[in-house]
Amino acid sequence: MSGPSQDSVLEGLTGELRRGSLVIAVLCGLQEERSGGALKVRLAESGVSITEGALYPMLRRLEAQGLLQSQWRMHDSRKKRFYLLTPDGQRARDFLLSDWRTFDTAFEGLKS
Amino acid sequence: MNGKELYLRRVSHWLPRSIRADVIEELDAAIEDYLTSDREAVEPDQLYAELRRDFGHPAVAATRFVDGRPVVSAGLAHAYWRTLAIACVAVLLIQSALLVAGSGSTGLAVGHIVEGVLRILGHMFMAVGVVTMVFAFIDGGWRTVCRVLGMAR
Repeated sequence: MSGPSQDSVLEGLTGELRRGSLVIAVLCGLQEERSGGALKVRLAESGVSITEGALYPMLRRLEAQGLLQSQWRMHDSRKKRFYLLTPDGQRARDFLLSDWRTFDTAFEGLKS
Repeated sequence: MNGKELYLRRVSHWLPRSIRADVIEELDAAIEDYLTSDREAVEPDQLYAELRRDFGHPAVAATRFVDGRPVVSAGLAHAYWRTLAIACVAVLLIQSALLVAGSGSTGLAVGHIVEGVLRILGHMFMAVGVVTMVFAFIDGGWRTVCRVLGMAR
């Protein structure tokens, strides 16, 4: 019986891992107020790639959860939406980062 | 209509009315940001294809903005498919038996067979609908009970 190829298995696992970690990256990237486009650039500079199709719905969801706040403003003669972490968002980011580090330490321990 | 307008119009078609204007305004600004970012210029007629690639197919892009939940969640998926298979096989067997029994001594005429097959398909659709509704109800009810009991779901 032939199962799924190793590439597709890895692709699926990477996708699962990325879904959760992208939220942490977005929360970390919004310590300073940024528009969606500026956030995407900031994430890319740090080596985190995310498509627009994933970024904007995530921003909206995080805002609905009270972790972000947004404001429409004119910038470069265009109307743009700027996002910033709320105090709840900062707590969520710190909690998730701490959880992430705990896992990271655990993985290192398990590997050795 | 340019590529951006066409894309926004198609996304808009899939969005619920309650959030449509807000999401389209957000996407419009996001696409403008995208167009002025450091990227290679494309022909206007290629823009739609590019937006579809980076923002997703209009139906998918719209769905990502809607916080919907599946009709049957992953926790019940296996039981759902199993029940569905059993229901469909039961319908097929019962209706086939009725078809053969109903043919009597005259045998199975073509018209009779066509009528029987259509009846089987109709009953199968009904079975799929009923099983799905029951599981959606069980799933929703289960979530409600968990919420009332304060269990994380």
